[in-house]
Amino acid sequence: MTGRRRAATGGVDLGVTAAGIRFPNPVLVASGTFGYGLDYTGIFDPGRLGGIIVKGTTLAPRAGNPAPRLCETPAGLLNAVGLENPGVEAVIAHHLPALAPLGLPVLVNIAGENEAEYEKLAERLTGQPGVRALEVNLSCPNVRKGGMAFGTDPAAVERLTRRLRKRTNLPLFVKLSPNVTDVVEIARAAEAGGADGLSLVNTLLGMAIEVETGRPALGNVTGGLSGPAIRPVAVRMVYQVAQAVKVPILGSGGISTSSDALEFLMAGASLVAVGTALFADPLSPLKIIAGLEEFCRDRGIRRVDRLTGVALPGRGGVAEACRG
Amino acid sequence: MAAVIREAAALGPGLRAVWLEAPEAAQAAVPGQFVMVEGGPRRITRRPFSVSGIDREQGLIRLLVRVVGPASAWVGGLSPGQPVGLHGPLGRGFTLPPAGACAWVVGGGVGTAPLLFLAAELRRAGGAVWAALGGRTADEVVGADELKRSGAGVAVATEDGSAGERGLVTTLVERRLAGGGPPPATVYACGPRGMLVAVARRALEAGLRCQVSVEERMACGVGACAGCTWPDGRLAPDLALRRLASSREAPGEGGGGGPLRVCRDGPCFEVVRA
Repeated sequence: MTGRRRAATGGVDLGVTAAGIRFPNPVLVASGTFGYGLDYTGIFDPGRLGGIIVKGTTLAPRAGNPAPRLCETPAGLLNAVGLENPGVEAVIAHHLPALAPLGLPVLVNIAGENEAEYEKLAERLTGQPGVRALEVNLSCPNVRKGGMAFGTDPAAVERLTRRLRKRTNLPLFVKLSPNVTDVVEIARAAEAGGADGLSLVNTLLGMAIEVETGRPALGNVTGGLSGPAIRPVAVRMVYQVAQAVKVPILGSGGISTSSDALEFLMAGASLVAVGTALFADPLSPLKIIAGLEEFCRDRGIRRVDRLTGVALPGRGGVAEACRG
Repeated sequence: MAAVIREAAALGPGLRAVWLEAPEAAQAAVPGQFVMVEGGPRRITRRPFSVSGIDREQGLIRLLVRVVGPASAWVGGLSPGQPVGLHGPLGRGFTLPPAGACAWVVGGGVGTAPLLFLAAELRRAGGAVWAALGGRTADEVVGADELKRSGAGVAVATEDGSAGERGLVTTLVERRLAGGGPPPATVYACGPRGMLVAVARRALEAGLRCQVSVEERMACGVGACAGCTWPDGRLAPDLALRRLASSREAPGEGGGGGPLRVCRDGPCFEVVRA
């Protein structure tokens, strides 16, 4: 089935090459919203995606945070899952082999409590079938150690990226936190450390209180906000970072429609990840892929990658993409 | 991945019965399974609803919707002919006793929803069913008439005494246990967590099997997001949940406990001593 994916659909080439990886289309699914890639199989064929970013994986299994872990907010979703995962060995033994037959680029999101753990994860995942890149999670807001604590310090980001670069030949997408004053500074640090791409943004730190009880709505008290509520923040960050770095950007944050995905591409992303939108409509990634294709076809844009960055200063907008 | 509303009617104040045209779900669903239903154009996640009845011939499933917020108000307010996003049936349902065996169902409030489907299947297989239903008020007691029509024995308790006897559903179960009649093969329960704990403790003390359907906030419903996990797999400090056998996967091993995704490992579990 999946081998028959066509990069060119109706005359539009949806394929994107980024960090040396050929993606059949630019629409991936975001880490933490798509498990280890096969949970939605009863609903749609994941082989139609551009790629899969699997759940944040740690060295040892993690049970995660106490319930409740979710709270819907205006146009958004707070979560505090706390990196529940079966640990890298189970992922290698069970999950990655099951995913490999799809033939899709798989990015494994890795999270450590310290630099040595990140290094071990990178070494362990190098050479595993189907794994095409690592997404380095420097931005989880829901764990006490590691995660966001790394991602908010430029020197720590550069040092860790440099150390990982020496441990693996897999492309590294460093996933940035939006919970910083200057995301550009962090992006530059990751690039300087040898990142092959940047993934932005992770969730925004947030909180909700149940007024009937006067208690925090989440078992972990605070959580990460995702969904349409954060999209303008994410688009702004992609737009700023795209002007400061040369490596490709994987944009995410509240993408629900093809129009949303186009905003990220035009702001400078080469790829996008759909996450929370899966929860309102599991078919949204497929609808977004179809919408991108239609947008390009209607305007005579032959390649979707022509749209990357057309909104940036000095660029020519959609008209530029039409000329290519 | 969508269904069309066939019929929607009030069952009581703030409670709606919604029949949906969903032929595949109606064919596949087993008692205890649920569907994820769109909660309206501005909602971020779909909402889980237990299947409370099916009409396989007409390809219909029934949901009982207690209006508690904007999403349930939207689902409850849908009119015949309207389409609604839906996926399912999902999760592991109850395991049924041997055909003809006796079972008890214990429901609190709208938690009775999956038990109505279960009781209908048990009755169809020739089993005897006794139901204990509870709620704070008479308005919250769900499904008593339907269960009586199916031939089940029904006892009702409300906290304010406005229907049945004043008190908790647990009291009905205790009295039945003390009554010395034939014990059920399994006690099935769905309702508030405190009720589940009390009923499960009584059942296990009496040496009976107990299965519960639990509730948790969910986002995906398919096991992908880990939003509904109970990390310790416990209903209470002394009560662990164990995955039930399903056709999809092997049953859980050991004494239960450990991280359990309510959507995929459940929502129906066997309760065992921790």
